[in-house]
Amino acid sequence: MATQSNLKNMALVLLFICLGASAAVAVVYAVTKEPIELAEAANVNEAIKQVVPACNNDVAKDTLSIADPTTPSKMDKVYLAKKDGQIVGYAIPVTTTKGFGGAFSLMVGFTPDGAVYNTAVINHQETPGLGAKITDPNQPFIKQWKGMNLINGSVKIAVKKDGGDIDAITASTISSRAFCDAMQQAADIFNNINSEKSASAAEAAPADSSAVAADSTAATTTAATAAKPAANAAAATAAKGVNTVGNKK
Amino acid sequence: MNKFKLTLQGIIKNNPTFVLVLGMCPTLATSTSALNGMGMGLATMIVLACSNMGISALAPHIPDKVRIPCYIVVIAAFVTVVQFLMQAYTPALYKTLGIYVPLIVVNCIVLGRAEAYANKNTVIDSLCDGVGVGLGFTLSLTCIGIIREFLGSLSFMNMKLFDADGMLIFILPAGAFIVLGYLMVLFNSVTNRKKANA
Repeated sequence: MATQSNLKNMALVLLFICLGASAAVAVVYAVTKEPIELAEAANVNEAIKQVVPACNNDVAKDTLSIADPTTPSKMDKVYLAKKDGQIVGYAIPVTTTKGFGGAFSLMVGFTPDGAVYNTAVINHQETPGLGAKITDPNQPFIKQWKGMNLINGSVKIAVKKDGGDIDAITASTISSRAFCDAMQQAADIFNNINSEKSASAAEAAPADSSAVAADSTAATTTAATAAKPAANAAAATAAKGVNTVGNKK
Repeated sequence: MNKFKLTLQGIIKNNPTFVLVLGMCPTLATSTSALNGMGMGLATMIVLACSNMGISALAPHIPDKVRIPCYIVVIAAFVTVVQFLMQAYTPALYKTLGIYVPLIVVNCIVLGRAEAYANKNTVIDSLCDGVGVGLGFTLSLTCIGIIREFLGSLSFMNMKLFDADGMLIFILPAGAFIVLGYLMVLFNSVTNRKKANA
């Protein structure tokens, strides 16, 4: 308190304090950069593991990039779970901006026939005790999604208040709506993969009888499953907007 | 003054929540459960102890007219450091407190202690004061958190005690005001009675 203020010492002291502070922040940033990335990757890996059936490939690295259905310039990333080279599940990360406390992200797992295997919340800011129930796997709201087929049109993805088929969490309709929005996005992405896949399978093997029937909705799922080896091979070469990255098996 | 007494003062005589009534925004926002409140309190305590030490060391060199900007830069640097460390080593806690951690910068407890105590006292005394007030803040937040969590979701430290829904209002901001008000009355009546007896 003793120091008399004049322009020179005010400027100098501010300059040195700012320099010191930014140096300290820079050092800590450099030191924690790697652990932070690891922690985030672990978070995503944990979510993937929860939402796909047992598999024996490195799911976090086996990804498929697919054009976003709403904004084609953006690519969505889809994680593939494979057992002995056969795809047994898809983990699709989605983010909704309609949450009560801001955006939240989900990892949605599908089996190849389009049924939801499981869901996991990656991060959220919903109200504790209310909307935060979306993170509790024992909630009836979370359980009701399991096994639900979202792509054959039998389920209307909206809460019952909005005329859909989903039971909302009591007193958390906004969080439940946002959850439905995220599930809808995941279903759209999954549909996109399926149609791209059957298209490329049909292109690569036009003589294959199972792939020819791939235009009716009901047949798409079976065709896609049957044509999987062909589709996998074709995806690398003939894919339109689909490209597999990572360790292909 | 005795260092232990100095630390204790921050918990009772200068309790930031119930006596000084500072830092109400994080108090109301993060005390929805006992663990959240405790995490926020501990993060604030670390920042408060570091910034009190830093500021009391720098204070003799800081010209009077620019002291507030200097304090804020020091506090903001410590908050950013704490945020990076939490993100790296306690990702679960960071997930729940994420948006409130940067708000420690503008928590008036931290600037209040810098201005009212740290710039006039020695580094060690300021450290004790920071730890004391930080502990006071942590204990108050944990108390409010325990009560709100119990009444609001019938659980304790994230463990469900009864399989039923609690009273929602205690999870919402209105419940935070109610719990805070009653605790403030309780705290002050107990400490005032002690003062009258002495």
